[in-house]
Amino acid sequence: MRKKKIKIIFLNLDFLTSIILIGFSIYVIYESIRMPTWYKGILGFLASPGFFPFIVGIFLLFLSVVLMIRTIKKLNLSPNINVNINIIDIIKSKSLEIKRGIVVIVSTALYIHFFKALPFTILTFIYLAFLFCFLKASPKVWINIVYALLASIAAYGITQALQIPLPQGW
Amino acid sequence: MFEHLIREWSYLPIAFSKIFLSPISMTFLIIGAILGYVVGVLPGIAAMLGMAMVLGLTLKLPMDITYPLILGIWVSAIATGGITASLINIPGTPAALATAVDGFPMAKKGKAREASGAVILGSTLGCLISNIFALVGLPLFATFALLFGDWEIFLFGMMGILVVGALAGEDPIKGWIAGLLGFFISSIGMDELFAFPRFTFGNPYLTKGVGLLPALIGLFGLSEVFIVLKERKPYEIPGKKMGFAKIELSWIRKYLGTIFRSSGIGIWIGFIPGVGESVAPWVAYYAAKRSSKFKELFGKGHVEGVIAAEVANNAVSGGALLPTLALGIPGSGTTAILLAYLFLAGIRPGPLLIIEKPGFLVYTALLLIAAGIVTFIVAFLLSPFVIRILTLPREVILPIAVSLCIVGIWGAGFTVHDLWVLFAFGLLGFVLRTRGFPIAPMAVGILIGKILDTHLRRSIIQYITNPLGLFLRPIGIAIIVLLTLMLISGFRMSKAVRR
Repeated sequence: MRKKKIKIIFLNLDFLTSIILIGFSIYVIYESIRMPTWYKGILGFLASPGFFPFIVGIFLLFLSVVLMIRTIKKLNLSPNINVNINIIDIIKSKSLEIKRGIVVIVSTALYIHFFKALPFTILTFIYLAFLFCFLKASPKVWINIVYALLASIAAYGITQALQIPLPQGW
Repeated sequence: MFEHLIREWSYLPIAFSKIFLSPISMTFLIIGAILGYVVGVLPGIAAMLGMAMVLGLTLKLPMDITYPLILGIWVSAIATGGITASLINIPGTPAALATAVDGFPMAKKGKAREASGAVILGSTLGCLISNIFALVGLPLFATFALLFGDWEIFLFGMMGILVVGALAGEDPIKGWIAGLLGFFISSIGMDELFAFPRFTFGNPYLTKGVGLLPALIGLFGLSEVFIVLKERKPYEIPGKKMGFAKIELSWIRKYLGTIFRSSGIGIWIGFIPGVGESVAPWVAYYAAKRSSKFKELFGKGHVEGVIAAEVANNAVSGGALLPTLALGIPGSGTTAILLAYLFLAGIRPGPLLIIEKPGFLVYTALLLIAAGIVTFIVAFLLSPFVIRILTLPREVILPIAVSLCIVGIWGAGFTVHDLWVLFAFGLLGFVLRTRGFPIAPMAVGILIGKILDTHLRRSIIQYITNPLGLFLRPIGIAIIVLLTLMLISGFRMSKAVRR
């Protein structure tokens, strides 16, 4: 039971977020202290490039600890916590959303990755046609392709009108 | 000091001719209003996405074209979100949530045209009243801001982020964390006093800091696309046709008190950083209900409820201009994008704006008034097409928006690094929003972090022999008192709205 509860706490994304933020704020504080100073004494640090990030790091650390403590308290105090929570079930119930999210994000990353490698109009057409078909913008594939073709030609027209030189690719 | 004020107002005739007598300004105001109409009407696409999308594309064009375009989108998107709220009970923009309370029952009773008319009329009146206020109040406030020194600007910014963080989302802790992360991002690159590279990891690209444009477009534009596209939520569209919106001018006479009260509420809430368009309509709606002779009709399709909410959410723009332009401190996502646009256009909003760019404040306020008038006409003329616009699939529009964002960023710097920054911030915004962190405080943090850093350290160096003197500056004390009052009043209003 205790082990399961600890697992839930770790699974709780707010808790994980706070752990990441605590680590990050310690890094910011450490880096800020190491930055050089140009004046002697206390003024040296107060006027140094590290002073502002140092303050930011301190407050971030404080708020992240508050977030962590609050999350632990919430999890401990709530009598309705389902200790048999199964992460696989959660993923299954949201599988469509997760799939759509991942595909949109990954295809956008690929679009950017190939931005200089392929001619803009062709790349845009491939990106849009793929997304329109995957997201089922229209139930008919040929309509999605026509949409993508028109949109990529329009996007090319905009770049020409605004005189934005595009990478030629290959 | 007052010569600046008089000089600013003396630019009014020039600003008038620059807007109303210029075919270019009017054409791009109209284009902006049409784009804003589409963005406002389509559920899930907020005004910020529309503004962010054209931000990159506008850098190549002169300001006479782009400024009316951006302001046209802002005013029109906020104004027309209520039409969708009334027709399908899903607000086109978050600002239009309160409009649905009475707008949707009106549409269900077969009065969809009247509901749309009330939205258009209320929005226009809110925009006009608040920007007439800004026309008078903005130069006055900017003149007062000339008294601010390094310390006061730092205090206002610091308290501003405190208020934005506390009020922009559901959880103040998460809002403040987002604001602090924004501050950290702003400190990446060369520091302004000693030119020391901070947090650059030896990457030469990062020595000039994180690009403002890709960061903001990523946070507001790309993250919105990721969030909307991951869900498939179809909405029901009522009927196939709708005629022109029905606007009754007698509503103005009948609900004059409500119109002015809601405008006052909108302006005040606009001035408070972080509260903005989503809270103002609710406060105005409940204020109208409390003082109305027809309390029992509210929530059942009463036109006064629609007008109260719409006047307030559009009156926010006039109030929000004061801290944004006179102090360089934006209070919401839309004003953060506006501020970023001005930076990129070479204009430095802040206390010195009234001296460095005389006439700009009255030009902006007048441009917003013109945008209100143009939105009224565009929204009325496009009202029969609203059903057709609602049938446009978001799955087509949003991927195209991504392409345009990418082209815009590429055109601004011709570097793939900027595209990756755009993507990284899109992903960051997506993760933060799904975890309940508001992104407006982060954007504000990115925008003002560097300014605050420089002003803080400069004031410390100035007062090093007498550090107590910093805390005894009268304007500084006044700012702390004012912003504490704002924080309390904002908290109360947000709490009341959530209840």
